[in-house]
Amino acid sequence: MAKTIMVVDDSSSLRQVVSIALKSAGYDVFEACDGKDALAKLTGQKVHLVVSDVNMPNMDGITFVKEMRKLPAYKFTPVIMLTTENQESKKAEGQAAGAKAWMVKPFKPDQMLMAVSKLCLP
Amino acid sequence: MNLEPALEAFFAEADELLTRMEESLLQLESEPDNNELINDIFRAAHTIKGTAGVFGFDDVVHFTHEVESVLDRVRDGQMIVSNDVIGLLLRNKDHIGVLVHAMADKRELDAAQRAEGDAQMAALLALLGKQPDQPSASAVVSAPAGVSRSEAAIEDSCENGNWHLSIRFGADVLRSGMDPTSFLRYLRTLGDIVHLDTLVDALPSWLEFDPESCYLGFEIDFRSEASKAEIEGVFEFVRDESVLHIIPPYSQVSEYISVLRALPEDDMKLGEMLVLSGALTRSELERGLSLQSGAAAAATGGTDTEAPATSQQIGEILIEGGAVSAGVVDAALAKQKQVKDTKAQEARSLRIDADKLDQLIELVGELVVASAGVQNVAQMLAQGQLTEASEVLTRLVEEVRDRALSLRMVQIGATFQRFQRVVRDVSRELGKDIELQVSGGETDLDKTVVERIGDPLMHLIRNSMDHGIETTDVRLAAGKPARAKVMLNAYHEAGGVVIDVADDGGGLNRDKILRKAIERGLVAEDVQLSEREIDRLIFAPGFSTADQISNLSGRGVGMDVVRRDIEALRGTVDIETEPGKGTRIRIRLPLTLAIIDGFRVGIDKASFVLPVDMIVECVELAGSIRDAARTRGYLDMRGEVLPLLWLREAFDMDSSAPERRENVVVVQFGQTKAGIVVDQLMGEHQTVIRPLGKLFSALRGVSGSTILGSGEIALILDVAGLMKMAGSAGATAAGITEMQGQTSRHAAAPA
Amino acid sequence: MEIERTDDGGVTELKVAGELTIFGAADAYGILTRALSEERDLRINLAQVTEVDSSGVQVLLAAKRAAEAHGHGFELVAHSAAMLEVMELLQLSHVFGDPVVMPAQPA
Repeated sequence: MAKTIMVVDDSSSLRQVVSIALKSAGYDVFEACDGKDALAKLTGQKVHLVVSDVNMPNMDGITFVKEMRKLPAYKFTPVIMLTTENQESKKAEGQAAGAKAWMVKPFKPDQMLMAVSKLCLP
Repeated sequence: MNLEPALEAFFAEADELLTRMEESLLQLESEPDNNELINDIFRAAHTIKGTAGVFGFDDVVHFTHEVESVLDRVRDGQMIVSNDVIGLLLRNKDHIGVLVHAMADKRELDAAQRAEGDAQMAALLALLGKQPDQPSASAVVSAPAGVSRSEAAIEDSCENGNWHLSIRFGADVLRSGMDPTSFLRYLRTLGDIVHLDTLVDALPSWLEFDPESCYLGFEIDFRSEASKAEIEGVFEFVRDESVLHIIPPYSQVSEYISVLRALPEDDMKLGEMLVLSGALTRSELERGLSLQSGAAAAATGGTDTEAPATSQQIGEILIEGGAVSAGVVDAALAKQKQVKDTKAQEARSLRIDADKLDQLIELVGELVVASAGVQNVAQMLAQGQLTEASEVLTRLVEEVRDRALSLRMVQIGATFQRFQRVVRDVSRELGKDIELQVSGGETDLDKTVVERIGDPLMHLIRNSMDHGIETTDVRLAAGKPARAKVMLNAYHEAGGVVIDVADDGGGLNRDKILRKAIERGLVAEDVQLSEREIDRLIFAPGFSTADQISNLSGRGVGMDVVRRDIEALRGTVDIETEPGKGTRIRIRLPLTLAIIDGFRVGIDKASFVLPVDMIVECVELAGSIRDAARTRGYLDMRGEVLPLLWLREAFDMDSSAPERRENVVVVQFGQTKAGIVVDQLMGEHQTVIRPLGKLFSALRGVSGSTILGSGEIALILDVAGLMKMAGSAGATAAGITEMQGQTSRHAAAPA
Repeated sequence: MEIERTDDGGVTELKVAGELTIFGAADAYGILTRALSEERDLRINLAQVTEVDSSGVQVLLAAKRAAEAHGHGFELVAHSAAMLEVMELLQLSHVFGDPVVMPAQPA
């Protein structure tokens, strides 16, 4: 059964690229446009990995991860945070919240696939 | 991978972000300390850079990176937001747009664009204190793809052609979803795990055992052509909290020993393991251990003093987590907290192709016509159930029509905001201090109208700045504030939208206008014109008051082009000016171009449609009142003079008027009222406007046609045009003259 | 994850079904703690295990050590395909020391 990945980013084009890349590698993908949306879409289904942007409206990625960790079904779900080199302090905050994997934007679709594969092969 | 759909989304998104960036930059000029704005601008640049990189638009990334660096310094308070910096950032924003559009169009920049980009880049680098042409991208970590035997064939190197990986996972990895087995599975995609030992030495007693902590370690012999960086990269997400050593193939025995020493487990035990796994031979291990024990004390700091070819690799790989000092983290967190809640509010929306929407509106138009047909038939048949059903249908269709039309409605605010930049740039160029005040941005109107109103507005604003607003000296001498204002305001009024473009400048110079008009032969020399009529002359074709054509507003086109553009949208333009105080140009526009609620009237057997929004009331015209009106040409409406227009005569229709009575439809346009005399009143109908062909474009008093439910064609009356035909006497009496067509006194006489 | 307990003479058999992963690690630890406290031999039936991660391996390793430290038996039986895959990856068969029936083709 294909592994399921949730992609959270307020940039719809980025979401699309990531989704296309992941789907082509054989993952099941669903999208959310910000932290709030993402939480609403986590309804207990099995999610193998979350790829989330940090800087988003409504609910940022770090708050989202903190909230997600409160849900038993997603307490230990791995998260790849998308960030930029200028967000070191965010990274510290995010790691404290349980987001250990960080990926620097911009990245090529292949790099994204590689990062995802390290945590969960398709 | 087909990224095409995502690409399209990116181009649209980039445009949105750039627009937001510009708005925030302009606002920043007056609020340089507004952190929210700075963060907003940063975020826009940042998102563009991030996403562009994913698509491989390296030019966009490269350029935006430097812009982002400048913004980052601004954000950190290391750089002051001067107007120069804002000016540069605005140009940068433009250039990013140019780069993105070039990508969208799959074309190269032209020479001028490239030069502009280079100039901006130089300016950015200067701000950042960098040298041009210095590669700014982060250095790529390079490592030899494999280590050949000959390179490392230094004395005492071991026989092992495999990599050796030694890893102890951090206690918290499992809790954050990082499963060591996942990394090992991925490692297998880079080569073969020849041998692997799972170390459980760190497991505590059962009662102290925390099932969610990780106690595992692994010693791995790995055969692979991958580079060290690649192998190291496998564990990148847990590197900070784990202990990882990678020993390349054919490394010196001493390196293994150093690793043994650095690991928590007993040296001898690990050594045995290495021998068992085949990483080292027993003699290599023994030799290494004895050598190292001699220099044990000195060896703890690493092996930098060893042979240079390979030994630096160990120091490189020894990872120590949490190297950032607590103070730095605290300061950073405090700062992040400040800017945390400043996320731009983005409306949840669905992007729909405009063509699809137009198709939908067109279909709804057909539906409206068809449903009117059904209603007609139902009325004719006068069958109760059918009538009832058709009424329900009509109501629903009306609702569908309203919803469909509202999909096309957009707020004018975005268009207004674009002018902030124009005003800023132009005022600088002119050396005038001008601010743009915008209100009513939430007023919405048809997308087509919004799209087509941009140019006329731009022209009006430029005209205000160029000709309306005095120089600072003149303003100060007149006791006015040095900073001049241009105001844009929009609001709904009587089924339409009004847009005001006003300034607090010097007002129109009527003497000059009149002189010019006479000079150009637009009016006769001895003509006596009212002030209003003089003001309206600026809309006459070929009229321009500029002493010299500036490169801003006097682009060879005059205000007549503005007027024509607005009329093409079925709108009107009106002007009010007060010498010394300023000028206000008022544009009236219909809400939508597609469908109107029409009121049908008849002359003999022909039908005409008037927009319901413009109808004030209907009165019967009969008896002596009718005779009096006939002779005077106007009606006394409760003491008010109402000029009348007999539609039959206006359109030269042959039939004769009904004997007993006619009807007057009182219409209002702007602040002017007039009465249109028709035979019959036939009630309200939804009307889908179909444009008249080019052939009829000169036709006055008619703005379009529509097909009635019965299949008949009805002309839609152009109220503004008709009112002009109804005579200027009434209009002047009302105190306002609508700007329609060329309006000298001669031309404005009833046709 | 669900663990079903049956007593087979002097041996307590725990039948694990579903994911033996970090999500159920605390529960597994709780059940194993109770079982270990009864001072009986333990048999873990892994036939119904669909997924095993490091935490699952770890809790089994720790339980084995705890049981053997008190002189009780600890054996893994009926390894499912998922369990075998992890044991092969981590080269654990000799660590657990249980006879593993390698199916000719993964079930």
